Amino acid sequence: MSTLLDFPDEIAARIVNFVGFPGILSLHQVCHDLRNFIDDTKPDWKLDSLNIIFSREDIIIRCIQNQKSYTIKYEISDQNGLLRDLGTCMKFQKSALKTFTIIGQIPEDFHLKLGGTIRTKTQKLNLQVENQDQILHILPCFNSDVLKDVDLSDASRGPIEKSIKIDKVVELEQWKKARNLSISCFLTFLSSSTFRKLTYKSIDDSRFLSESLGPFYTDPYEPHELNWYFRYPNSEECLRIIWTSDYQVIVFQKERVDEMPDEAALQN
Amino acid sequence: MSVENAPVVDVDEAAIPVEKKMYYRFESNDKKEFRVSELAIQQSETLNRLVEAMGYTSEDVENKPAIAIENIDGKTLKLVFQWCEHHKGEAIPVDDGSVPKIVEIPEFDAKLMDIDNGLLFKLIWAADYLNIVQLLNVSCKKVANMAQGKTPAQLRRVYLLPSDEEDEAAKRAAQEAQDPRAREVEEEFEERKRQGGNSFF
Repeated sequence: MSTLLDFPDEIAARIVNFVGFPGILSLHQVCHDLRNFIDDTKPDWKLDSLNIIFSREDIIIRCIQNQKSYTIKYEISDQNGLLRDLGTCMKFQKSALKTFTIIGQIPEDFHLKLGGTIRTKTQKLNLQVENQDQILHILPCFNSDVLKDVDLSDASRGPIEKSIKIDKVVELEQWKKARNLSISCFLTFLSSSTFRKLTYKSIDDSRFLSESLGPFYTDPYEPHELNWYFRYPNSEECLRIIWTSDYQVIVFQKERVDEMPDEAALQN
Repeated sequence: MSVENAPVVDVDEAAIPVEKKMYYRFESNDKKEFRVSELAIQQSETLNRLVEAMGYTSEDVENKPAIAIENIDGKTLKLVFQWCEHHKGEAIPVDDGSVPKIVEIPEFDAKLMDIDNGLLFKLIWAADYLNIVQLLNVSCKKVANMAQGKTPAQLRRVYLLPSDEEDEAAKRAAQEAQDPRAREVEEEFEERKRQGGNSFF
């Protein structure tokens, strides 16, 4: 009796492609020959997004492909299984992912292990971290020419004003090239980069902002937003700092001077 | 079978001339005979070319021996021709070697393929050999669907594949069967190592 691998290559390839994602992940573990065969056929999964969600009981990979959502569940102890499948996922993902998310109760050593497993083209990274080292493990896995948005948030669920060092992170190509950076905790150090927009979350007191930044401008239609404008030396662009009381978010954004509201003051 | 006795073919009369409605006789490798309408045969690129090349008249079909299909058995060929008769006159997808993105399995095909894996795999072989593109699509899709939601261990049973360990054991056994001396040398080497000998040669 013939088996799957006795078929001519084009038939076996047809079947493997019909199996598609996520069935190929299991197929890939069946045996050497099938694994080699799948590797040779180099399927392109065209995933849109990949999310890894840690909870107390389990780990979930949630993928969006072709507007369909797929969920793969792992025991919390089966980090190796998760990493193996993530490696396979990334191997067969030729197009760029729109988003890559890692959130939840992430085990301390996971960032290091993941950093050794994946290389990916992704436009937006959502990452929960507790310290700089974790960012340093993960961020270099992302192709800096593709990564546009980096959203870092605090995984520790500790005090809101926790600080995190990013003095080494800012040296990374990925950080320098990202256009939108969003950070939900205070930073003790920040250097300039080519960002268009930088967001900090959980800043709940506007007083110290107006003390240090001077008089602000408020658009009558956006009464919850305080705005400051600073001119860049020898440039048609200015730095707009926005603090939103609704979300307790502060945003740094580059804008053109001629797009400023007339009533707002431009500080030097 | 005469042209008059042929079942009614539900297609546009103008598009298919009357003389096209003829039958051919085929024989499987276990000597089962089948009569298949010419329109159904068109689903198989291989058979269609064959009958065109033979240029049989209705009389030839009856008088000459049935066309032998050497490497397909009667049970499989029956399924193939049932499929072809059901789908006769339907457009044949262009097979450019790429895998079609969406393949739906119609109810008729699902019932036809409600068979054991061995027969299903034979059906795929036959569809490939006879170049019946859409039958190849649906049968491969059916095999692919069998993989959904299964663990690697379950997949080994479905696809009749060995685990890595079994595979290695089988390869070792085959190697040993081929070269018994290699095993002896290995054993001797292990024995010398145990005895603390420094040099084997």
